[in-house]
Amino acid sequence: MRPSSRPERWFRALLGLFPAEFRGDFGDEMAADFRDQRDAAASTGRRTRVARVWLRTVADFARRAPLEHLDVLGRDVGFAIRVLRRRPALAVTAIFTVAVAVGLNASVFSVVNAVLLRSLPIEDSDQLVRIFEVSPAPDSELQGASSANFVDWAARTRTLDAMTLVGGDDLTLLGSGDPERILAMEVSDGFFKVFPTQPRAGRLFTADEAQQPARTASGRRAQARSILLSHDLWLRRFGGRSDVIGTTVRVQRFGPDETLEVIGVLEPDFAGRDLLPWGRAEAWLVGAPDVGQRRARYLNAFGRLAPGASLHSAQAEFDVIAGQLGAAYPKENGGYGVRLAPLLDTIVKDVRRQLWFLFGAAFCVLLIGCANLANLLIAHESTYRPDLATRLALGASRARLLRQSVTQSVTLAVLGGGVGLLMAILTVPTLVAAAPPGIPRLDEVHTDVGVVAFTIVVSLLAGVGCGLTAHFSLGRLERQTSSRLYGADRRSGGRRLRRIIAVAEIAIALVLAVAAGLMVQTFRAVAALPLGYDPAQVIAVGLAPGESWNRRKNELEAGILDRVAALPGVRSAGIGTRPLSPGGFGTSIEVPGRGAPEVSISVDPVTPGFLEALGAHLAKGRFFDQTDTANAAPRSAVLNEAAVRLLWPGGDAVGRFIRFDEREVQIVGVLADVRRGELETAPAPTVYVPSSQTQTFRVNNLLIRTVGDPKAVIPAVRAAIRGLDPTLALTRIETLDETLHQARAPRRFMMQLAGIFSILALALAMLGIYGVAAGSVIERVPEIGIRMTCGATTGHVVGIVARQVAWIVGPGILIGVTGAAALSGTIAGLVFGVKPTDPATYLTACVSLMAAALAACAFPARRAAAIDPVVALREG
Amino acid sequence: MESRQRDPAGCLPLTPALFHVLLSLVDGQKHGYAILKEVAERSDGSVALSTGTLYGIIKRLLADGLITQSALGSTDRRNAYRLTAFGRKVALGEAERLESLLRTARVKKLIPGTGGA
Repeated sequence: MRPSSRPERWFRALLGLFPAEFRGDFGDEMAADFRDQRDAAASTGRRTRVARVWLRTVADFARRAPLEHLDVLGRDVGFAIRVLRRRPALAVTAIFTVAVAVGLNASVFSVVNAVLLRSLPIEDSDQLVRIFEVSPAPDSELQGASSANFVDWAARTRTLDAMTLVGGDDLTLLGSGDPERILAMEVSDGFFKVFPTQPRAGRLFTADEAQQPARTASGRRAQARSILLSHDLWLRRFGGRSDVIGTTVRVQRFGPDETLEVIGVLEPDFAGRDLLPWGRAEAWLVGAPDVGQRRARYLNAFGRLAPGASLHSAQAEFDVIAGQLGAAYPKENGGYGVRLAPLLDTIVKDVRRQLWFLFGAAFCVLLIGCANLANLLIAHESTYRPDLATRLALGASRARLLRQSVTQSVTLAVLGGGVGLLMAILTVPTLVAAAPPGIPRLDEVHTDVGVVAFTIVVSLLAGVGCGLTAHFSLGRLERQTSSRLYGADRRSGGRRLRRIIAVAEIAIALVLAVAAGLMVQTFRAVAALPLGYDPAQVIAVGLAPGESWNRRKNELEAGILDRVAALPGVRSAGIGTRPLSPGGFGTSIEVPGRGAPEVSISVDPVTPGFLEALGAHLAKGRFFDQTDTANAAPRSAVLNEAAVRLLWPGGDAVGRFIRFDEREVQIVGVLADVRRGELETAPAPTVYVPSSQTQTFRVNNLLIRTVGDPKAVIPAVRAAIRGLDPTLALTRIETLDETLHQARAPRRFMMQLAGIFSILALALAMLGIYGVAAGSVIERVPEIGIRMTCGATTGHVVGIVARQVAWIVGPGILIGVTGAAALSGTIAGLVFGVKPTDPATYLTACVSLMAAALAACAFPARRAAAIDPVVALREG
Repeated sequence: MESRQRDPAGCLPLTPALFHVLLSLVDGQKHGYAILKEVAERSDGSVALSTGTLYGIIKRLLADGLITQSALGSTDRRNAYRLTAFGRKVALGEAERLESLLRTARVKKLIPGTGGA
């Protein structure tokens, strides 16, 4: 075969499939043999023979070449393991570093993957949208849907092929056993088209059942005849018995007791149970939306995009529909818009930023881990430099040496990644258990195939990257003369690179330390927020009175309070909305005689004793007392300071009147603002009115201030309330300290995680600094020996090491501070009560890093100081 | 040297392709193409080795000490290979193993017309 002949070129190209070593050993022979085979086939004059030789060769190469690569890989891994067994300290440090970094990333990825990335466990879940109403500009606030508007949307849309309206209600299950309060979803027809599922037992709602109105013409809620149970409830309350289908259960909602027929049980993992922001539904009722309600926008509307429709086209259609409904009902809908959002986005929107932040923080730890691995390998490779140069001189290819370096690094990374994956599998359940309530989809978190794939990819990338870095840090081995190989140049191999890497580690660790510091400051700011009440020794008890108390609210409240207040250990007790829980609808309020427009203020009915039990701070006037009876005139109200600021800026309120719900009430007191909704939201203007003077039947919550341990009074409270009504269910018993603890949990959790990540980053960075400092001491032994002979003191020698570390820490801190400042915009959304560029936090982070760096170089410095000049000069 | 101490049975059984290559070297040293040709002719084309498989086998046989490169007969582009003493023992061991199997097949009258042993 002529060297330039086309078949030979083709064959040589095919040979490229084999490892270089194999090609080097057998490539020429194979080419010669192939030429003979081909010539023999050509000599028969049949081209098919030649084609067959080619075909057979190509097929053979496709089969053999991967096996040869595997063979080389196996030998390289074996070689790497032999080398690493001779360097156990290197191997253990490297594997540990990678394990920590990869394990952390795999854990966080498990959560990010399950919560943010994986689609919802519902058929075609990417077609699901949530539909909001948007209040008129300039507020443009996303609100729930009103039922009348929903009905009009459903009649007009072509881009959604199923829609459903969902509300939530607490519902008390009566009958055998203790009354039990559960969350029920009230859904409209189409719910199971939007969220398809099969019942575990029984059946779903029929169209007929879905057509009965949710309320009757008189405004009373109609009897919902059918109820579906969640799998959990079925097991817990009905023992998982299949004969429960077709039986009836007695329940109590707002109105009279109702008797419902159990028609089915849903699957245990039915994803439609987690649609309500305030908890997991355990039962489903069906009813037609109320076409008379156009203003109350509090229901949750969902839809499923029709085939071929996109979110964009659906939004465009709903913009048109919103315009039409605005024109048709200007009083109710004027200025209102409609916004469609992918369902997954609306479920995870509150945690998205936090989770990506944690993922970013974990990635920083990974970068530091990789930097450590690269540094270890650079030091390791440089000790093998003469060996490698010799092998190169003896004919080994550079590619072969590179391959061995990378295999060694990948072996370490994969071993570390394996240990890291195990760590993730072990820690993820703890992480999930420790997570604060309110993070959606946490029960979907587990280390699945995606997490394993992520770990493998991250480990391989880390291994390949570090291996390449370490190998190329050796420079050009070919041109080195033996004297340079064994001389001073051996030491400088990669030294600068190792320093640069250590500087990067410090910079990244500093960014993390700043982030962790900001989380600590945020938590402190949240913990220091003025509450406006005193949570110590107060316990809240949820109440769920039955139908017999309808129209006898005042009697019930007085009965409960008389009995509870008389109990030993009770200082005061009252009924009203507990703090840090949702509630309180805005009511239009006007000041009589003032032409100014009405303002919307939250009205909160409370009994006498409630504000005292809460420990609210009275600023002026008085709280409610026994004189504030149902028939007292004038009626009374207590305002919070925010309401006073809104109604009479800078003025006094006590003695003045306000008007709402078509009646006038007199302000009898002013209290300091109480944080009653979200902890981190400024208290809204609120009017407290005596419960006895209101019509609403919402006896929902008893607050008791005690002398000693608040939980100690609960048995007595239970007995006292049983004495009044044995069917009255007590729910959600919790001290206000516990409520507060829960409300602060998300911030605490972020602080703890950021703290752990930052400590890990700092520890790994210390390891990196230690490695560089220790390496440099070993390199400079002869120099230090000479200096000591010339009279350098111990302090001087320690100074040499300290200066070297300072040249790493200084630039590292500078770059880190710049990086953290550059990221302050990103982190601004995650902090509260502290500026993302808070100087004190930055300073603390810098000082911590410097202290860590000092600690890391202490041992190498001591070693340098202990060098015996005679020994050093002899060995150098 | 090492091959003298090794037990040929440790290398058995051999794959058919590998045994074919060893067999082709029993009557003297050959280079790759000669091996390919002989194996193809001896098996009436039923075992058609290609260069990739052949040199994969040669690499393994060299590493295991069953064959060696022969200085005699090698050209600038081609090496000749010959059996080592150990390789010959391994080939013999495989032949005996196959013969014993064949005997059993005959006793069991699996092979028609050949009768019992």
